[in-house]
Amino acid sequence: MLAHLPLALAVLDAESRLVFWNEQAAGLFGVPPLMAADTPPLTAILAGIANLTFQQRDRIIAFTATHIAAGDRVEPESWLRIALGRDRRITIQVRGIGSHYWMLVIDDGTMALAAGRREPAQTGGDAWLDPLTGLGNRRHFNQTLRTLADNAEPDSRHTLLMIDLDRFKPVNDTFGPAVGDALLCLVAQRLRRETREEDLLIRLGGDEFAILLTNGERAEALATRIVDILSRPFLVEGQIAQIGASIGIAHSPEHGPSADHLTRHAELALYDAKSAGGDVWRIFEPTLATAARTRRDLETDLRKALSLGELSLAYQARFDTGNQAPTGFEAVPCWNHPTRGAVPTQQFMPVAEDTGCIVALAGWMLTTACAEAAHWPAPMTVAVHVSPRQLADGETLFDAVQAALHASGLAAERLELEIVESALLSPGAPVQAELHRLRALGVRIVTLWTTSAPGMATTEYAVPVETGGCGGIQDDPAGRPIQAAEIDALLHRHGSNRITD
Amino acid sequence: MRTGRRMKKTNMAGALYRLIYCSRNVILQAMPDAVLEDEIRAILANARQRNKADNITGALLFTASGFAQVLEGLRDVVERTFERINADPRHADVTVLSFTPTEHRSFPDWPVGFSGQTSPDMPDPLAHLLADATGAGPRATTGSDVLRLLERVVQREDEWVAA
Repeated sequence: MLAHLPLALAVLDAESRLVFWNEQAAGLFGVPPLMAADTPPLTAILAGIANLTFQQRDRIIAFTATHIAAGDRVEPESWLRIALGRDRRITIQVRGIGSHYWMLVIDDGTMALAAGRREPAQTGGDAWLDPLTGLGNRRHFNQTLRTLADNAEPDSRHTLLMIDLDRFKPVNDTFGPAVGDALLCLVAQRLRRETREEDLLIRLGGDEFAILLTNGERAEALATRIVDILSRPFLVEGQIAQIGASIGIAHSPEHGPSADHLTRHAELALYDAKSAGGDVWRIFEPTLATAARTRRDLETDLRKALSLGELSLAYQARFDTGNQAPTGFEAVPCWNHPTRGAVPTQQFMPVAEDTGCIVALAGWMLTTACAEAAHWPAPMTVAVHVSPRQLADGETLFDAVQAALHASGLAAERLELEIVESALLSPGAPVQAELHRLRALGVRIVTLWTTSAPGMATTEYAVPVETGGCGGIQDDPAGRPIQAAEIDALLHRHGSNRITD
Repeated sequence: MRTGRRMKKTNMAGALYRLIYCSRNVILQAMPDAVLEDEIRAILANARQRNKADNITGALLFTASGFAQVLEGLRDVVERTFERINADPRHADVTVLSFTPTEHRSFPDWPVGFSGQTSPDMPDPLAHLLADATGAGPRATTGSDVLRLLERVVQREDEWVAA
């Protein structure tokens, strides 16, 4: 009976949670079927209405709350009119049912005119909701931020929590996407339970979520609780899953005037939480933005450096501990930037590693080092550092090594690949398989044992300890990396000669 | 209450599953005994009512150091029940020791078999078990350790509540 009325009806309890809604309401809200077993808060449901702004949603919530708080004392004929976009309008009324329930009556113009034709509302709803979890989607998030930016009042304050799940990928890979999806739904459910009706809860995509608060005071307590609650075990589809969460927090206007700043700053704080090893929250600080800008500038310059010929290799001599004769050299990448000057190796290599520049850079290092080493008397070796990222893409590494050896004519056993120990610890057989293939070529693999702080995995770049990289004045050939041109003299001093073509 | 229902031996949502978990108690410290007793009664009354409706059986051991609980029922119902219990701020370090399909219930007659440990003279049976479960103890706690412990010490919560 209720189902066929040309009105959207939803029954709320005293906590503004929906206990029932009819078919028209489902169409208007764009509710996925899985929510039907739940009693979702009004906020979550309203998120599904197409073109409803954050402010309009707040007005509906306030309107509803006033009626619930007032009980029967409110004039039953008071209506709230909301314009959705240019040519659509909904009218809302709240009526008490007994003393524990309230009915939200929504007259959607399109429905009253053409009862039974629900396509417009349904499409609209789907477009704003994440179909898997029933939370708002990225589009809804962007729209809300835009609305905030357009209607910014001097005293309006907002806080954004960006949430990224830790260890979700291994769960998804191990148990399959069906378990992964069910897990994301449970995550959404836990988040829903910890948040208030007035909070905007979003699934940005993948294992990324966001919460927009109008009251930032409880942001830290909420973040602490979310980190705790998402680190507790999940039982999902008969499996036990253990994940965690990293959270970045930014406040507006303290952390920047625009909505755009809010997102970027929360992301930077999230990145900081992630690099601290996860399972923590971090609040944005201006130093994070400065560090990010410095890094970005460095990245831009680094991308150009290779083609502009600003990079060169220096060589750190290695000596026989007995007769002190040189046994080989280790290649150390050097960057001489026209305005920055000599950029320390430890500074630019992690950037290269993180941004993917490392692939081109490493290929160039292998080619250059092998070509140079081919001029050294046998059996002198050349050592080239291999980054964890290169190792993860073993096939490219293998091809680069093979190409460098082929082009230079250097015997494979004279090439030494140095690998940071932590890179070998990363799970998965591919690394071991690739190392095996490289060894089969005759190349020597050397493991470097570094002492680094936890969470620094991506910034490890081993350079000769006694020099800390290159870039200084090379007046002490025994202790510092030297330029290729100086190798000749060093070899000569030790009674051997560079091989010339 | 013996269930005559036939269970399929699959990991379908409708299969019979047994969950065993333990957790650290974070409510006891600041609570006088009388309040604590009320708190436990409330937890039990609530759990018993819900579990009866959900056809969940099991046992709960509650001591100064923590909780150990066995929950048996249809897989999806156990998952839902755990999701609710798990979020409770009165415990922390929730560790799932086992979650597996089972042929029959170990506590078929009890919605929440219960054993409180009220006497301070008795050694806390959960203390070392929790240390082991969280990795601080000398060996790993298994689900069957907890199951055996619960079978040994559980008494009907009805009797305790009535006492």
